[in-house]
Amino acid sequence: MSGASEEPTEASSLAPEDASPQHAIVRSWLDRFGKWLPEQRPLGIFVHQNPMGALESRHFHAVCEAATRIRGAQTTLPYHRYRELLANRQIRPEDVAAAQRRVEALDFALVDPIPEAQPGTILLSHVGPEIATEVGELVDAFMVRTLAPFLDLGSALWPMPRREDGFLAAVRWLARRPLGVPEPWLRGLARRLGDAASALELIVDCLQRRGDPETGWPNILHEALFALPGYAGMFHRLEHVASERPPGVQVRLVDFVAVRLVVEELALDDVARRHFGRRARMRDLEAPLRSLPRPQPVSMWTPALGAFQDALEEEYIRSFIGGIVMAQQVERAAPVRPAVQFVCCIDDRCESIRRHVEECVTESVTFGSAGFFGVALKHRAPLDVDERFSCPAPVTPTKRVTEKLDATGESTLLHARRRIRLLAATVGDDASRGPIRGMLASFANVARAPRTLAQLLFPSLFIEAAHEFEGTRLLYDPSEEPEGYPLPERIALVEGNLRNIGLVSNFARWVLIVGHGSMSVNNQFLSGYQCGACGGRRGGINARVFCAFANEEAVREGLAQRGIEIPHETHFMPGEHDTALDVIRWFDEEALGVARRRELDGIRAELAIALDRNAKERARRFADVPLDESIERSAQRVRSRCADFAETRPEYNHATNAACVIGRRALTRGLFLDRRPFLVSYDPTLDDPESRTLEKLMAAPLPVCAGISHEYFFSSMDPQRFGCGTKLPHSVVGLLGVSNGADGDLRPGLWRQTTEIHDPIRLVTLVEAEPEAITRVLDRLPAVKDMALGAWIHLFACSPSGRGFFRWVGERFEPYEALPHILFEVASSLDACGDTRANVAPCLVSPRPDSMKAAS
Amino acid sequence: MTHFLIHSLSSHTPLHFLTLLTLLSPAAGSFVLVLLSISGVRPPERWVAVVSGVTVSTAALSAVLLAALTMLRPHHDFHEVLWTMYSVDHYHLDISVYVDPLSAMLTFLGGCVIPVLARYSGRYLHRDPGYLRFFVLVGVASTGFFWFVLGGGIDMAFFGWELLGLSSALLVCYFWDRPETVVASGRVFATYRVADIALLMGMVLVHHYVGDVSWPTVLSLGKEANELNAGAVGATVLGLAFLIAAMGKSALMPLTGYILKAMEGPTPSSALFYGTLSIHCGVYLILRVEPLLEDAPIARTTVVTVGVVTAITASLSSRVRADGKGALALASASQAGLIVAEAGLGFTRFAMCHLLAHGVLRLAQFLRSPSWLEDAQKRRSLLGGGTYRSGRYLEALLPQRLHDFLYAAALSRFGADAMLDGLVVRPLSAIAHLVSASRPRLRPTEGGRITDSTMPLHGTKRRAARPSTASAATPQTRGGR
Ligand SMILES: [Zn+2]
Repeated sequence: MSGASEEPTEASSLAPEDASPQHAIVRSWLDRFGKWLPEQRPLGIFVHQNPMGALESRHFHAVCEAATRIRGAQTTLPYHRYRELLANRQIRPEDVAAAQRRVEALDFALVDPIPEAQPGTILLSHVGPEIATEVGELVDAFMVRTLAPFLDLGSALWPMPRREDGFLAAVRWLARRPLGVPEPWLRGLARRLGDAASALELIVDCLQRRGDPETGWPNILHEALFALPGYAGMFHRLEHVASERPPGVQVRLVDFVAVRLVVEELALDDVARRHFGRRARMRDLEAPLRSLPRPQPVSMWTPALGAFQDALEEEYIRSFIGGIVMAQQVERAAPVRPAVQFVCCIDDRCESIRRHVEECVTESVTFGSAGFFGVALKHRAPLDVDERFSCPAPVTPTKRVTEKLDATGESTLLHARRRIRLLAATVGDDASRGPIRGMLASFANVARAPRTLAQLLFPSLFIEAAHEFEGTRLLYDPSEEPEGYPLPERIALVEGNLRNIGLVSNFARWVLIVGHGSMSVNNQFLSGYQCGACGGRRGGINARVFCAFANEEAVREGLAQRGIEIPHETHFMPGEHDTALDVIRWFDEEALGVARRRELDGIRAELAIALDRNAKERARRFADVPLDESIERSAQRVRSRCADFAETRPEYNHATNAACVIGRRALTRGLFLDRRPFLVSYDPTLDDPESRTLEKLMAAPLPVCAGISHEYFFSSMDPQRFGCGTKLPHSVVGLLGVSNGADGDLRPGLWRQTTEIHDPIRLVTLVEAEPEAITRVLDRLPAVKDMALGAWIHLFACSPSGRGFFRWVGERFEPYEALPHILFEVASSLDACGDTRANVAPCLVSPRPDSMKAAS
Repeated sequence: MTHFLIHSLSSHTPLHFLTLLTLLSPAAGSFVLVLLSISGVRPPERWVAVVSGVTVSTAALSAVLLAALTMLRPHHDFHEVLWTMYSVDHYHLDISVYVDPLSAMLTFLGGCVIPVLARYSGRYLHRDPGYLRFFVLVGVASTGFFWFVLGGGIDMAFFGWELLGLSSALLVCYFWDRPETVVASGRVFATYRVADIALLMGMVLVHHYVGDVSWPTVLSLGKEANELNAGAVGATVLGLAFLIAAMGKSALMPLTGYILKAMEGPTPSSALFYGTLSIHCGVYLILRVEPLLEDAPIARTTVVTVGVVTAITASLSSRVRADGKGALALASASQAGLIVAEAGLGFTRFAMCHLLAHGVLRLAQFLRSPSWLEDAQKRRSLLGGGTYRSGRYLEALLPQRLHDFLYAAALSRFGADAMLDGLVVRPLSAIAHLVSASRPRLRPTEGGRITDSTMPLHGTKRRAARPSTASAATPQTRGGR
């Protein structure tokens, strides 16, 4: 789900400039390096994606090698770490040997090699560390000062003038204002930028003064782009994705590079002046630099390291696939006539809740469906002017659902808004930036201080559920909502999703459709904790809409005609699981009769037990929660984290994710998998001969899961250059990213507080289908096939017709022999993991519900 | 009966005891922690949090009690020499305490804020490698604060002022594995030195005029009736010296820039120093010496001007800031300026209340600053979406040209930083280059060849983000796995 694929490039506006060959050179190098710039959506709609997304067509190891040269980042663990693992038997020597042979056999061509800079090329990194650092700081300081307000999405109270015409124009304007650019060394900026020259012309002009096209320019451009990779990456992304730009602002990477090069030049002029007298200029540095030894681009990747990494992953594959293989030989009970069907997201965080539901709720079965339940929608809250996309990132929804309050509700809402607007305008946080209103805010705050104090000291008293509306009416029928869903579409949507997860018959009285979100305070990455399938938003609304459709008489008739008979007593119940708070909110209960509601309360009671036990299972990962506490106490601790301003780990998000299973629950039911796999429900026996359903599932959910796992992989390999380091000093910049302190570069990637417990492992994907069928599907999905060919994921197949397991090796499936493997049997999930904070190998859970209830 | 109780409670002995607790216990806490760490024990987080929490809270509690009880005394003040270190015929160095309504109020603020912050940090820094270091520095900071506020004379205040500056500079480079934090810390430290020198000058001058630097004497300086009167010139010079000191501590123009560099530290330390305590110490100094300005009209006018200018420029710069912590830092600098102006105009009482209220507000805002995005989104959806910008209407009143000028100037913080770089930093570093032989530099020799053997091959760690120097980069250990 790399952003580049979301919208066509808008480089067309530059087409005329590319006429000249020099421009072509510059553009080709910018495009080549552009792939390496970190891609991340603005923080407000953050979702995980592979930082190397644009390079998945190359082999994984080749990219890892190139990344160390181009990004200067680690893509493997340090050597000594692997030695340790080898010593602790977490890596097997024989695996290393085999992997070594495989990796050396690859001998791939270098990806994007950069020619060595010739003598006389003027590079910042060549003028010696102190000087380079000094100059770098001067340049970066100026760039950041202007870049942040330029890209700002509404954090500054004064938007930057002239930014509609692009960064170059804005800086030109700034340079002409008195005190706009007061630095003495930048005095020449306005003159140097001129007012006619296009960005590319400026770039070429600057480059010509510093080196020659073949051997100099690439290095200079590379330096200019990767000095502030965060901002360069954001420019690169926003240039391609119009919907995420600040409204009306023109964002082009060439502008960024042009300004950067000009400023670097002025800084170098300054260096020359300081060392060779006031008449000296940058070109006077050339002679001295000629004689300097030049640093060579060095790769930190070696085949040995790559082999170690492969071997490390082999060990997990052995235990995970091995566990599933062994489990197939054991009889695991599952209800024949389920009373409750629990449908939740494919999210790895939902693996545990599914287990606990099956353990605690009588006669229950569970399904995993992409968290938007197939309903991609534009969501509009009551009396709201803007609408939020609630669907996976690559999709652009066309239909809208509007929430409507009743008359009294609307009037109270309007009153509340008037009050809030007044407060915000006089004593709000923004207002407090002015001198007088800052004073007002200070005195007004005295009234609020006690509450703040109390919340800082006793967070658990202030847990409040998410602030979405409840009891609103959903307008989706074209008669009420012009952009809504007509009946045939509603039928098609419901049918589509039910077929995807393989729920087309044997319906239970209760089908619980449960989306998910995550509640926490003081968390700059909040949207990263929400449902990725809902574009980084809470999934409740999608569940509500899906159920509203599925409970409609007309829709059910339509489904019946298409062969899906939903009995009349079956009710689809929408809910939203808060993965941090471990609470499920239920929506639209009014629709139920009294009897049904009492029935539901019974199920809820059982669910409450499951949720507590789920919280307890999560608690073991938090180093500050004792292992030997009662379930209630741990659950209580875990919940109070969500309201604690001082909490940097409200939950561990996707950390420790490692696998993805596409298949029937029968494959994994009764197996403790330690919240590591994404579970996508798919029934191969219901699929058509061309396996269209499988194609859908491998086209959408699989790349999403892979993206998540890859982002975690790289962020844990190099927390500083792929990740954003520790979140303790972060400052939120322009509502679109974070930086260290106030004047730093944007820091994309994941924060140490979530990668700290993650073992970097490529996604181990198990698909329950005939290998031939999967191969046919892959041929129809080149992007996914590239991932398999380039070893970005480990692909396994489990034949539904009992032909055993297969593994994708090189370019085809080969039979896979799992070593015999002991499968411990435990009474409940908690028994499996209760006594350790480390990862736990798969074990067999054979629950005894009565004992479960007694325990809780 | 109650009268007797009050009387006995507010008598010397208990106050004496409370003073000792306040001045010593946080230092003791830090000392214990340091001992633990150098003795090779890796104390678990819980111990560190408890030791620091208990000592700091004890100090805070006794400070609040001290302040409260002093207010029960007949003249609402309490001045006592605890220990005379040594005295040469005229000069004597005392450890003494002076509490009056003014210092009582700031003591009260610190006493309420510091324990809360210690508690917050105890959870916020969970699993951070520098956990112990942070709390040692918090101990040092609170020691410094209480010595500064309760110190009976300028000399003691100066000592506290130094500790406060040192600890905050060290907390700015808390994440020392990123060199930019060290550079930032250097900037902060340099600015504080300016303030220190000014305060030192003030102290020396006072000693020169009076031969005694205890607050009661100093404050009597301004009074016409007083035979110790330093005269208009003396008062003016003193006033200006203290103003410069305040500029450095409270980020007044033109020394505002460093406060942005200071945001490199972990959020709680930003809150403690640049939201609440450190930034108000300069303001408090002005409030303290306000009586001196009685017959120093020039000093008084300068104080007010600096205050007003800071209030306006800093708030404009804050309005154009796109990042949360930066905007907050400049906003609190702007309020500090306003309070200084109020003090200069003689509204001491009001200024003090304003100071307290502002300290609490910024503390809360800084601690919440990670919610900057979430709050913006929530506000937006609460207001029913659409764009909403505070102060848009004031802005609309400005004529276009003025608007443009103000924006551009605000973005560069009115050239103050650039000016300082040009006038101070550059010349100094140039001198440094001349005197230091070790520092490698491009030196032209015959035919512009380089004959500097110390010319290094690779960029520094900071430049390590570039591939050409990647080999120099050691893998970060910060991302614990
Ligand atoms: Zn989800």
